[in-house]
Order: sequence, then C-alpha cells, then structure tokens
Amino acid sequence: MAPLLEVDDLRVEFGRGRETASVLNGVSYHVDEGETLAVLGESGSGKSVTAQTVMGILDTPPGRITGGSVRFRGEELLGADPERRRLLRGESMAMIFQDALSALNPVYSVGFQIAEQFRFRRGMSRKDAMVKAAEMLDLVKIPNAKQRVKEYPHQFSGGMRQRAMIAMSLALDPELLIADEPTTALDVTVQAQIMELLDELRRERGMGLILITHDLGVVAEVADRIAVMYAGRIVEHTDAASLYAHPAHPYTRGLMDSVPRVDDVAGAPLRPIPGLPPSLSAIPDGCPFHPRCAHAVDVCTDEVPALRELGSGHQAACHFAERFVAEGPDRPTTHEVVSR
Amino acid sequence: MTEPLTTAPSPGVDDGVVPDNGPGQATRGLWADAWTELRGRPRFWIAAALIVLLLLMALAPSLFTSVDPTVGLLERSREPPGPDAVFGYDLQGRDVYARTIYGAAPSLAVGFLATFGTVVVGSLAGLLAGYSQGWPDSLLSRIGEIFAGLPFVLGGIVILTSFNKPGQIVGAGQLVFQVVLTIVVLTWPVAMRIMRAAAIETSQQDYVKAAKALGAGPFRVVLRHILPNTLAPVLVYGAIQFGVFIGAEATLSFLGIGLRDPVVSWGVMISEARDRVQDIPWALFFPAGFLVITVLAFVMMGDAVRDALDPRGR
Repeated sequence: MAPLLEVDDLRVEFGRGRETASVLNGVSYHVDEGETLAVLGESGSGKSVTAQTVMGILDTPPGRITGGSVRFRGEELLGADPERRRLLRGESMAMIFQDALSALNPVYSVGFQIAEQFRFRRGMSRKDAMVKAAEMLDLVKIPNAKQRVKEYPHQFSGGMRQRAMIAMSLALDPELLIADEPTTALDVTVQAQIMELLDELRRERGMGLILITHDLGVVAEVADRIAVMYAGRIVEHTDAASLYAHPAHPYTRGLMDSVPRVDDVAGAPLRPIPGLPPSLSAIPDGCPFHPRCAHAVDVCTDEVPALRELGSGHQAACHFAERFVAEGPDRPTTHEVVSR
Repeated sequence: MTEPLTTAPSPGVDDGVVPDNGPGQATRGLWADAWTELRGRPRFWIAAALIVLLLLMALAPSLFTSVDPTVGLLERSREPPGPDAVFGYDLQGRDVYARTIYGAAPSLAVGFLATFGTVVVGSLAGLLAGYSQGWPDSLLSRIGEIFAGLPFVLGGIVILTSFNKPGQIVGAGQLVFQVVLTIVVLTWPVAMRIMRAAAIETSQQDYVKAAKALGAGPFRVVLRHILPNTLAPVLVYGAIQFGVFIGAEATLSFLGIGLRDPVVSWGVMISEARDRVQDIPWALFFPAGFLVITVLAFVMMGDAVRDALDPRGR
C-alpha cells in the first residue's frame, strides 16, 4: 500500500535568471500513518519550503516548482485541481506554524477561529460549532476550555496559543499533520509539554506527523525516523536510534557535536560547524557541504554524492559514509549521556 | 516594517492557568463584539450625539430656524450678532445662523458621499491589488497614478466644466452629485494605496497562510482574514478626509464650478466670507466652527470604531 505521504525528487526554485536560488534540489521522503518523521536542518535548508509545497501554500511567484512529485495516499498533488487540493487541506492534511501568535487572527476569538472549520466544512450552526471548539480546546488540555474559547489570541500565553493552533488544525481530524518548528518560539519547559501533546495526539489518532525542527533535542524523544536536510537536499535519513548511534554524514556529526552538553567543562568553547551554509543561488560543485567539511578530499569537490543505502534503511549522501558509520559519533550526545 | 502584534504579552512563564479575564461576554463574531465594545465608550456616544444633531439639521432645517437663508436685506448688512440674529448678518444682509443651518445638508451630503465613494472604490481596488499582487496590482496601481497625478483644482475644473456649459442652470442635487463624483475620481487612489499597503502586509501574515493551510478559499481569506485587519488605517483616513472633502467642495465653489447660489453650503459661506474677515468675522467664524465640530465628530467616531474593532485594545 502506498505510504500516507510520499515526496519524490521535489525541486523548487525562487527568482529568475542569474538570481535564481535553487531552494529544493531533489527532496524525497515519505511518512506512514501513525509515524513521526523529523526533518532536521538549519535555517534556509528548505525544510519549510518542502512543507509548504506539500500543503500547496507555497507562494508562486516568487517560488516555482520545477520538478518532482508529491503523492498523498498515492494521489498526485502537484498539478492537481486547486479546488481538490483546497478540500484536502484541513480535512486530510493540516499544518501548524512556528509562531502561534501570528498564526492566529488577532481580531477573532480563539474559539471562533476553531469553530470556523466546523461551520464551513461541516455545515454546523454557530452554536454547535462553538461547543465543538471548546471540546477541541479541552482535547489539547487547555484548562477551563469553556471560558477560554471566548478569549482572543493575545489573552493566551505562548504555550496555550500553540495548543490552540494545534486544536484548530486537528479540528477536521486530518491524517497528516505538518508541524513547522512548533516549539521554537517557546521556552524549554513548555516545549516539552507541546511535544508530549503532539506525540500523544499522533498516537491516539494514528496520524502521520512531520516534525520540522532544527533542534536535535526536540527530535530525539519523539521521532521514528529523521531526515537531515542541507542546502535543499536530504543528506542523511534513518531511524532515530541509528542516527544518534552511527551518524553517517559529517554535517549530522557536526550538528550533534555543536550541541553543548551537561558534562562539558564550564567555559569550554562551543564547537560550531565552521563556515556558513552556501548561498542557494551559488551552491558549490560536488558535495554542497565540502567547503565546511573537515574530511573533504578531491572527490568531494568533483562529485555530488548520491543519497545511498548503507544497509538496514540507513541512507546518507557522503562518499565516505561507511567509514563514519563504523566510527560512531565523535562523542556521545547529551541525550545519551542523560539517558545512561 | 511595522510589526502589528506589538502588544503581545511576554511568553507565558508557565503553560498553566492564566487568571480568568473576568466574565467574558459571549463571543458572537467580530462585528457583534465590536458593537458591545463601542457601547461602553463615552467618546462614541459624544460623537454619535453630535452626528445625530448634524443629521437632524441637514434633514429638517426648519426645526432650527424659521428664517429664509436666501433673503438678504442690504440695510442689515454686516450687522453683528444680536438678539435678532444670534450669528449676525453677512455682507448681503442674510441671517448667518439660518444659512449655517441650511448649509449643513449640502456640506454633509458632499462630505459623506465623497468619503463613502472614495473609501469604497479605493478599498476594493486596494484589496484586489494588494491580495493578487500580480498583473491586477500593476494595472490598478498605474491607473491610480494617472488620477493621483492630476492636480485637484485642474482636474476639478476639467471634470465640472465638461459636465456643465458656462451659465447653465443646474439643480442642487445634480450639483452635489457632480461635486462628489469629481472628488471621488480625483482622490480614490489615495485610499487604494493605503488599503493596498495594508493588504500586502496582512496577506503575508502567518494567519493568512494558516487559514489557507486549513483549506480556506480566496474569498474567505480576503473577507474574513484580510479585510478586518486592514480596516483601521482606511477608517482613520476616511474620518480625516470627511472634513477635507467639505473643504474641497468650498474650493470648487470659490472657483465658481462647485455648489453656488441659491444652494447654501458651509464651503460656499466660507469662501464668500474669507475676503471680509476683518470686517465681518462672524460670517466666517460660524460656518467654519460648524465645519470643525463636524470633522471632530467624525474623527472621534472613526477612532472609536477603529479601537472597537481591535480586540487587543479591549
């Protein structure tokens, strides 16, 4: 059976002529029902553009989809009838955003915005829809939901807004939820609560979850599989456990190494990845990561490494992936240190 | 670049119960909530009372005076305010009080209709341009620039003289209509630009994207998500322009192409009186004062409505 969502060799460009930025250069991933896929990468790696293309809310122009396919339950979405895609949104796939305050309309009460879904997509009366909205707020564990349903986004705290946003996107019971950095704007304790909530809702409803993040710590707890993105490509893709145990791409290794650890000596310098991500209008030849890679040799500047299978579902786009897998991580991550 | 959500409270310290903000009244949607809010504001009631009084003056001037505003007795010329005529007499010996009362109707009609026309035409064009941002935007913006590029007085002369041959007698209603049309044609681009800028800013907000991500069609996105968030600047512009348009009518009257005798309007009175300020200041002071109060009432009303529409101010 076809996976819930399948993205295949997706290519997106922004701008024209010499200014053209290749934002996605052949992104492929898939999500099954009830599964969490984490898409990991720094700003500008194309995580959000992929998500927006999947949802069909990418602004075109300036964006331009130049190739690839997006299939939902086997149905091709790119080039599909816009009305069909609109009906899929909310009903079958939904998305939550990084900053829930700006993702909620300031002039309507939270309940009203959730109720809109029930009114326009389910044909409910205003009153019934508000009752359902309160139930949704209750589902995402907002205390005192019957009162809070009448309040406006600015009266909610940061974590509550994200909960309200989750309630809004789950109103029509979608099978796929894309969470675009859902916890980035929140402080750490609230982050954990939101992640826990998302994980719980995914399990209860058996929906597929794509979790877009740049935070390794967020991913570790909840992801079944992790796809690491760099310069509009997937550079490594495997299940969460083997990514932490055997990172195969130097970029992944660099990311893990740059996270400060609890057992670091106080005052010890951080270990950032040297350099900056490449400009997307001038991606270097060969491996896009080679200018920043400590292990780069001639072949890295000449040949683009393909994303290849290393065995047991572990894929990486590095000429020397096998060597790195055998080596294991440079040092255990905080996650492992803590869980030991 | 203005961040429209500056009043955001700092990120919640905890994700638990935030104190209940009193017994929140039932939410019945944007306009119902705004009305509930409006009713509690003294500023709204003062503005509303003034506007009702002015409208009464415009609709039924005979309630306020029994003097004919067009009858002038030269023997009374330049008589200052006194028990006979509380606002005094003008150069032609006409009762300034009666003329001010009778002047309300054409002035308010011009101000109201011109504001309404400008805001509606400009907002629709601006909303379309700002939301589509493609060729409709380029087309509307260029058309707008053509009209905005015409100087007001020159444009007014061209439009009004092409309607009426010199010396032709035109009825009051027709004149008001022509003046309103002239003003709308020459000023809608300003309202369009304001609305276009607000619509561009709003359509880039995450909540518009979120609404699309939840399957809202273009009409619902524009009408329910963009429009309510773009009304504030246009309402303020409209309230201020109300007075400016009454003044514009006076400019056209002064040139002899706008309203003219026997139609009385504040604009006509002001333009007649301004050459004799030192001589008969009351002939200028009273119509000008009424104009100021009218503008103030509408600005206050616009402000109150704008505040009521913004739930963050509650």
